[in-house]
Amino acid sequence: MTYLQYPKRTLCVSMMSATLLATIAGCGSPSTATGHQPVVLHVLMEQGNVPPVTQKFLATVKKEFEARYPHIQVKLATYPATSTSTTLDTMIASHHGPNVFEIGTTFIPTLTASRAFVPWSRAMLQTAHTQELVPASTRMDYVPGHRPIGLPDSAEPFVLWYNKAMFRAAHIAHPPTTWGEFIADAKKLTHPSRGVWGAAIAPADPFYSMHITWLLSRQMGGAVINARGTQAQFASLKVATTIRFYLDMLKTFHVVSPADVQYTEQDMISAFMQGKAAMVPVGGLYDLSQLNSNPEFLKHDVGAAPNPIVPYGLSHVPKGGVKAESFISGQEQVIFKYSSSSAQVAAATKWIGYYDSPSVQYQMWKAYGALPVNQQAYTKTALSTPLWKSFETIETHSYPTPRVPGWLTMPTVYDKNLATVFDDIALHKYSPGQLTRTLRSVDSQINTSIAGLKTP
Amino acid sequence: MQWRTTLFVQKPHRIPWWLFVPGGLIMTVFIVWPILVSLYTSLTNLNVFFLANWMTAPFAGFANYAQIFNPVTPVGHSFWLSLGEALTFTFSAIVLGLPLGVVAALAMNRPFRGRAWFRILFLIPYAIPIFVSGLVWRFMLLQRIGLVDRLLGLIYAPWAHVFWLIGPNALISLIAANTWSSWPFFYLFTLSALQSVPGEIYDAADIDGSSGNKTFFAVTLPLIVRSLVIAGTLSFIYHFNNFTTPYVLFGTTPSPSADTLPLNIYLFGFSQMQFGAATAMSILSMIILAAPMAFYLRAVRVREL
Repeated sequence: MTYLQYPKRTLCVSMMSATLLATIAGCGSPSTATGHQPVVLHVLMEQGNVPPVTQKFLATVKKEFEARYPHIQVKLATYPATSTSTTLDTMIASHHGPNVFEIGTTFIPTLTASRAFVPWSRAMLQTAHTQELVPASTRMDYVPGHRPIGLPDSAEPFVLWYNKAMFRAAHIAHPPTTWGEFIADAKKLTHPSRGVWGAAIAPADPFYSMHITWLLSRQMGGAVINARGTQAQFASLKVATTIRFYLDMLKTFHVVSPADVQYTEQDMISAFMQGKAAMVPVGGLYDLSQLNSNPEFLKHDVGAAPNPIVPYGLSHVPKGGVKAESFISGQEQVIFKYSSSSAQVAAATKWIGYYDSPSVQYQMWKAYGALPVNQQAYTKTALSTPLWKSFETIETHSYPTPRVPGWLTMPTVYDKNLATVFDDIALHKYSPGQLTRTLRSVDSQINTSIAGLKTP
Repeated sequence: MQWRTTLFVQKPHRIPWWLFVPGGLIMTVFIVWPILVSLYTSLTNLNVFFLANWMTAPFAGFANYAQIFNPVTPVGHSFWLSLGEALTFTFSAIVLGLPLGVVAALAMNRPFRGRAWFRILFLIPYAIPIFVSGLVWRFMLLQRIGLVDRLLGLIYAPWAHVFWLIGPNALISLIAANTWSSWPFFYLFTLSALQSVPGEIYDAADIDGSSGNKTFFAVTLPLIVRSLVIAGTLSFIYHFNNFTTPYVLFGTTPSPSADTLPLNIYLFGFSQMQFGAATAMSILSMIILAAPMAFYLRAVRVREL
């Protein structure tokens, strides 16, 4: 061993230590807002239907936000909606992720139970000016008995879209207000020989059948799951009746094309846009490119109305039924607990509040047609038209889907099983009693899932 | 440097072991550790609520495996059904793709005008991302509006207006879409094997009066059969684990006939949040694949020797 080796080793160790410390310090610096160092806020947003449009809009919001809050530096990223579950699970499992995360309202009960997101205090809610938001849109921010864990940034209620030109040709004066009228109108609009149908549905979509069933069941006074969230009730009389009606659109009334059994929401919207279906109950059709500049859309003179609220065969909403025009749907922004320092939580509150401000909400609508959740945004001239005002009205008559931890497990089981029933109807293999058997099996499968969903 | 002297001079027989250390560490971190975590997870009732502290998930012992092995339970019924579909799909992919690949490779092994263009053309299905080719097949197979249905309707074929994406036909569609994108794998494997066969052997066969089919079955096939077996084994492992094609074609509501095991595992894990049961299924899937993997390793080792 030479004398020179000690200094060499010491030097090496010192350099390695310095590098390591610098790295750790570098990782930690965004979390602490000391002196003039800006708070770095990591924001992960859903990329939307047209990612470049979303990214352009977000870049503008970031620039304006940073100009208003110079001590906050925003780092934006987007992710596709198809990877929501995997992104979320990875974030929670690894304790690494953005400070602000945008996610669909349907995930809120799950996120609450995961305890990985910051509950909003009264002070935070005041900072974000929540009093300006459409009250119904905030009902999915929380699970009853818990603090809210996010704020909505856009709404997407279920709306009955209809083709005005086809309605005029069939001498139908206005969109239906009861499901009985819906079937009667749809029959008038159906011309199978021309490949034109009164309505379109999307049983092959991951959430579609669940949403329709929830809506119809609430109107009928039924519930797909009990209040405690422990027992699925698809086979109960009221829910099964509404599901039978949903199936009858294809099986008995023949107002939807048998081809619909293979449709996702995009296929269904495509059929509607091509004039092959006169009515579609669906949420995401607000895209400005579709509404304001899509020639097909303008050609058909498309209208939007609330979904009918009176169940089929009845003249009024039955006792216990709810006049639900839609479920509360849209995007929420939540703050991820594990990777956020107190300074970042404060910055995230400011970001979410700013995003929900009338000006940004209006810009968002102009950019890609997402419905604002801030009431003030609807006072702008462009959003004061009857069409856009009607969306705001529908949003106020929307109700939250069950806010129980097990909710997220239900659509997969239910939609998969119901899709098989739809398939059998289309293939002429449907047998009497099949629906009852299927719904009992769905209840059993979901109950098994829920029983295994223990919370800490 | 005393430690160097100790390690490399005094005990030279240990040098290979020390050289193995970096690779061994990487293997441990990236392969052994995840497998151990998966094994542990499969013995728990892990769900999204325990993900943040997954070690605290309720311990379930072999309950997940018991459910899977009992076909009466929803999990077991689903597992056995999807296992059967996965095996049918996997064997079909090999049975259809292998002959196609061999025939194409035999054709491309002989020089002819424009051969380079055909070689490029044959690789296109393999070069297109499966996500894209899956989407294209889905649009083509949609009843009434898809290209396949329209073409069949145009020629008044008896299969016009048939549902290709639902019911029993869903499996046929899955196999067709998959065969289209995966047969070039066999083609490439076979072509490389054919090109390693010395020309002198064919010359000798020629002199002996052999030609055509006889040469293929007596000379070519015995010389490339080992490559074909390896290709078939690799294909089995790949197709048994193929998640993308069924997911893109059918989404999360597949017909029972096309509900393959990887898709089923995904639905249990990420849609129903039953990570414990999903991991137990994955472990069983891995055990099933151990046989072809061992076979493959043996085949490769024999070849190396």
